[in-house]
Amino acid sequence: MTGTHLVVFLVDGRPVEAREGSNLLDALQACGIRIPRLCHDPRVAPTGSCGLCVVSRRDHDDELVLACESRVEAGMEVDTSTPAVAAARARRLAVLLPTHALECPTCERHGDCRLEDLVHLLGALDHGPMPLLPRPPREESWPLIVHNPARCVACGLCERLCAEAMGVGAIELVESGSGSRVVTVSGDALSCEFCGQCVDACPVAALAARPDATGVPAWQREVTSTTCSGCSCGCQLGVESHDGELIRVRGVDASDPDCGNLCVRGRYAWDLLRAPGRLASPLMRRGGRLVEATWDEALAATAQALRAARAQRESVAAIGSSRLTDEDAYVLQRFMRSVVGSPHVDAGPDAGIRALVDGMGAAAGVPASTVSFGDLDAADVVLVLRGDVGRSHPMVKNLFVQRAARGRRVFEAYATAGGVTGRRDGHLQVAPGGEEALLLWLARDALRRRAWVPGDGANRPGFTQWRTALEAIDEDELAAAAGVAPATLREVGDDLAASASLAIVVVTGRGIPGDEAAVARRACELLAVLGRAGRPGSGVLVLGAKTNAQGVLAAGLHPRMLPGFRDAAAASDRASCALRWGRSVAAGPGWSHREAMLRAAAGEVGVLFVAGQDPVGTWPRGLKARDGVEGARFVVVLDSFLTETARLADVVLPVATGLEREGDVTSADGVRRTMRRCVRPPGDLPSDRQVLVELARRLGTRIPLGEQLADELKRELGNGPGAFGGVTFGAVEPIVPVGSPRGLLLDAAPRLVHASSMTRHSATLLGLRPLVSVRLSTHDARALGLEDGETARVVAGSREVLRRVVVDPAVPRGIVVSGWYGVGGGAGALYVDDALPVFVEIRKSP
Amino acid sequence: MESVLLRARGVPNSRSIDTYLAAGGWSGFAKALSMTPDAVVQETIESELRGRGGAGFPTGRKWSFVPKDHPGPRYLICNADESEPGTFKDREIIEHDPHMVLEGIAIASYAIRSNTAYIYIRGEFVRWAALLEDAIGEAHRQGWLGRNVKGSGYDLDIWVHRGAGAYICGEETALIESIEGKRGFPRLKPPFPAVVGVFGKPTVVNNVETLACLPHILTKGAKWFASIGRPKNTGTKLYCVSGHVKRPGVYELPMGVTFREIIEGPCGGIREGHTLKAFFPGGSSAPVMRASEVDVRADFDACAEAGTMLGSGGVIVLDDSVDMVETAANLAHFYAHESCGQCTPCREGSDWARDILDRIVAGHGRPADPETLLRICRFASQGMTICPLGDAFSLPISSIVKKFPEEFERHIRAASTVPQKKLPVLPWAGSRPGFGS
Ligand SMILES: Cc1cc2nc3c(=O)[nH]c(=O)nc-3n(C[C@H](O)[C@H](O)[C@H](O)COP(=O)(O)O)c2cc1C
Ligand code: SF4
Ligand code: SF4
Ligand code: SF4
Ligand code: FES
Repeated sequence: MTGTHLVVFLVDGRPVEAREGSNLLDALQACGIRIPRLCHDPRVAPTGSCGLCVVSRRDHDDELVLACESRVEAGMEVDTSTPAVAAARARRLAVLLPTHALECPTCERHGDCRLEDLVHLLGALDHGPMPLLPRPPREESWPLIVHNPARCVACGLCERLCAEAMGVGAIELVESGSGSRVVTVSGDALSCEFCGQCVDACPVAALAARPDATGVPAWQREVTSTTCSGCSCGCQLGVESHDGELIRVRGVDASDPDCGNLCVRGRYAWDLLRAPGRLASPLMRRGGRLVEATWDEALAATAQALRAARAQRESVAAIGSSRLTDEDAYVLQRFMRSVVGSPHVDAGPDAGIRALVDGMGAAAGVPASTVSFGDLDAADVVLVLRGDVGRSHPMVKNLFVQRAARGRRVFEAYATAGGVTGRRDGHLQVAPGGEEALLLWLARDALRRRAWVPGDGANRPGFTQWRTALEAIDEDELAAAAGVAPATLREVGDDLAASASLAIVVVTGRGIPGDEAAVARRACELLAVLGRAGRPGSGVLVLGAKTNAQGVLAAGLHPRMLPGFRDAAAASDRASCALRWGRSVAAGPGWSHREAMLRAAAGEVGVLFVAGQDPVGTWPRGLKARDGVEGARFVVVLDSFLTETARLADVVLPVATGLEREGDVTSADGVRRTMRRCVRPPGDLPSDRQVLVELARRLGTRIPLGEQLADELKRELGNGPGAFGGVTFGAVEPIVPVGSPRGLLLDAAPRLVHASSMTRHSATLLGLRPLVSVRLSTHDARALGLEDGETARVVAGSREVLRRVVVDPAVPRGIVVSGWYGVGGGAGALYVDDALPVFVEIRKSP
Repeated sequence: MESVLLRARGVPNSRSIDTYLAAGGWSGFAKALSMTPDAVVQETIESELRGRGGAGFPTGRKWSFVPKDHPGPRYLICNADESEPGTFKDREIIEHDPHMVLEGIAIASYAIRSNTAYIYIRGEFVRWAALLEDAIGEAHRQGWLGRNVKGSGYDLDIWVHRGAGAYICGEETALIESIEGKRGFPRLKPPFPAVVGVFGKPTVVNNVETLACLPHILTKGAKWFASIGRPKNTGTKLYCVSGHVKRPGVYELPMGVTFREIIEGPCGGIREGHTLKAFFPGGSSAPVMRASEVDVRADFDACAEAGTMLGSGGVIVLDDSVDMVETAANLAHFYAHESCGQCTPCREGSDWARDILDRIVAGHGRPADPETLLRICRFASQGMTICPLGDAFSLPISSIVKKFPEEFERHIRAASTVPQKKLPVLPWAGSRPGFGS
């Protein structure tokens, strides 16, 4: 309905520009013209219930119309503040007051309430006193949210946001007339995604997040916007703080990419910043024990260890993380390559990085996503592989909810369980790791249909061998490996063939079975045979598990890549870095994290740096992290918590995290977004890069910080990952038939509330979902004779963890859900190689 | 005058399709099928038939708003929600002549090229829903409904959809939401249902009585229909008279008779020993009339001129035994309960009006109360709300305050001797016993 072209219309006699057919209230708001409103939000369809947004149509005999219900027309003339408009608004507002619990001075939203503001703005009380007919308050406490019906103005925003924007529909307005009230749909205490959008949207204090009641009035709070580090979506957080202490997190109106919609992690995880286990001062190993030390002592010891390693010609290796900011990652690799003189830097076993480098980089020539979040909205067909974004990347789920509202489908293929929202429409339950076979089947199907443009694929490198190898595989065997019936696959193939644009989303995260790099590469190949590769609106979006996979790669945190995606093995690329950094650059390629650990275990590593990772606590066993950390002569850990790796370290250097950090990150869509310091870290902790720059200084080298670093980084990153350069086809291996698995598929993939190791420290999130459970279907629980609440052993081979049984009808048969990261050892401990699915037995605990 | 809409009243076995056919029934639809849909629309426009659901909108013109080139389905809805206090005419038609309603639906559906029609019937009308279902079954068996009606190539199905007891679901857009399975919240207009209606498709909503006129217009001609009543206010009308008359009931009279003719004619006048005090001309949502206004004509335009409305034709007659303040309180209870709650002026205003009126009735009125009531009513009318329920509660109440100020004064004067009490605190709304419950 909304046109794309801009038209001019008159507002209070002045010309204003907006898109034709767009919502008039939103358009006025966007031009900075403030129109009172209680019931409208751009994220949901207008209802016109409060009537406050009236404006006058000068071109229609001064008719009063609701702005939220009007659309922009070329040449329309709108007056926003005639006496008739003002009177109508004041009257409409005045009727709300007598039954509203007018307790502003003691209300937690005092100073931050739209009703309160409007009463003053509109002079609603100027019409003379109104009878006061207050209703007695009745508070209802839900988890995380307090509902106070006496303050509700029945605007319906909470209900509409929950249903229309989030696709959840957990709360609703019931009853009629003045009996209208908000209740949970279930009738029980609220049980939902806890995204908190309803609280943000409530214009009054009828819905409040429990932590809101801090006693710090709105006008004394500082509001800083920053980028969430909960996943790679890059949502914008509006952080309210006072005196460096966090008060609460809200969505930022109309922000990119989230439109103000956050998820439970982005909104509620941040009590982890003040968690009891938070490190506030450095630790050093003395007499075999880790004890507190001063910064000077800890840094001196580290510098000493590095000098000793150099003297003894020992290797130094660093494992960073895709959780680091661009600046931190850049300084870490530069510190290693040019100060320490070691090429061994890596970001760890990061599924997002593997999909980008070994998938996208190998197949499309650019280690980056080739479509944006906006394309997910516009593409004809969207194919999501490997996991439910509702669990791992909730912001993308919201985009799909909007797509669904317009009747546009999303095909989702994954082996694990769906999320809270449970959009089962278009979900293909594939065999664990079957996504690659699924893509190959579709590619074969596309070849057969001749829907592909020969010029687009046939002359590409590797095509002929690829095609021959693919056609040598039996089609039904491929379908069997995918775990999907051929008839169903054909339907998907029909849709792909009929579509003009195709966006493929590759979800990554620990505990998702299968090879993410292979899936990304097959996705590129499929696009090529469909003739869609490189077309606008078509491409692959890699959803990294952590905040900044694309950014740390661009910053050079990779054994084969220098900043700006230059080649660490190429002397010329190194020479140009050396010229800018003023020191020689160690010759690459360096060791991968796997090799670094093996070498360390073999006693070849003098100093091992670990920044923002917990290899011992969270890596799959096959990577031998414990052996590596124990085998390295000197281990330095930069982290915010005392991780299992930190417990084995020689020096632990605490750093700022989450809302305390500043710097840039690159989200999954390739857009760089900024993190700003919103909260003061305990003990005024430094950032990772400040620690490294200080270490470099002690070793006699200057690395810039602040503005200078930012400028330098901008130059180093150059023009980003470069343009898509056509698809290179890879090798196709024959299908190895897998025997039928024994036991239940372990689903340790990211969960909505706990998607990373960080949320273990948030008491709020643990209160919602304690990390001690194994969830299984009603059927499996019955078959195993397991009762809700009992403790059971989750056994894989010789390993086992103890978990509490939760019988969950939402879990599909044959799957058990238990987080990778757990309290008292997560299910991640059962994995040897995280690409391989793990099947477990659940045994009664003796 | 010859009975048109109520001709079957008193006829034995009147509901059966055979009786209906014997009286010339279903021939209007047969005639329509021999015409083009546009010609049916034109015939209806020429009859000057106006909607009997309350607003009096010209029926043929409403149909003509359905986009001609719309691809895909369009729908006709027969509004049988009949919940307006004092209104019981649609039920009367269905009781005696359900096939007349079905035939009207068939003609209207054909005119707008719809193949599916719904009858949205008030939830409490269990018996009448069953009567309609039976009649639909008969019509199907005799080939007047279903696929390829009488070999014309035209298909039509009619579904009965029972409401769940909300007055607001008589409002056409709330009704549409309700058919869609949602809570009955009226939609903002435009877009009008004729363009975006049920399931997002063009939809016409017509009242039972409106539709029942159609078979007669087609068989006897638009000219015949237009010759009854006054220009622009044509045809016969069912007046439902309740209250203090000797013979309350539904009467069919030509449009444009005066209220005196209705009350003193078939109704036999006011009950013995009493005199007329006031009357609501068209259901409880119409502004009240004093006894002195009884010579106003009972049609759309005359009522509008007199500052009220013909509405549904529910004439509620009040004699001198009635306390007008209590009357207003009674109305306020109804509307406070039935406001859907979407718009603040209606939701809050009807609630306060009820509380203030209750307070006056309870003997605690204050001098400023009438003024406050008028203000509340002003706030909820004049297009301040999504649907006309805001007007429906505020216009009659404000008309009572304006036309019977002395009754308010009497209550409030009597109250001044009572010590000022604390305001009644409303019990929490959710547990408040509703009107009629
Ligand atoms: C609050 C409210 C209640 C209504 N209730 C009814 C009703 O019960 N029956 C009805 O036919 N029309 C009712 N209407 C009118 C309908 O909205 C609609 O105008 C009518 O069904 C159109 O039919 P007509 O064109 O045949 O009059 C109501 C309107 C309002 C605002
Ligand atoms: S709880 Fe808040 S958002 Fe929800 S209807 Fe009430 S006032 Fe509106
Ligand atoms: S979707 Fe990701 S980025 Fe957005 S709020 Fe949630 S965790 Fe943060
Ligand atoms: S005017 Fe009253 S009944 Fe009509 S939509 Fe608004 S609140 Fe609902
Ligand atoms: S904002 Fe437009 S009616 Fe409430």
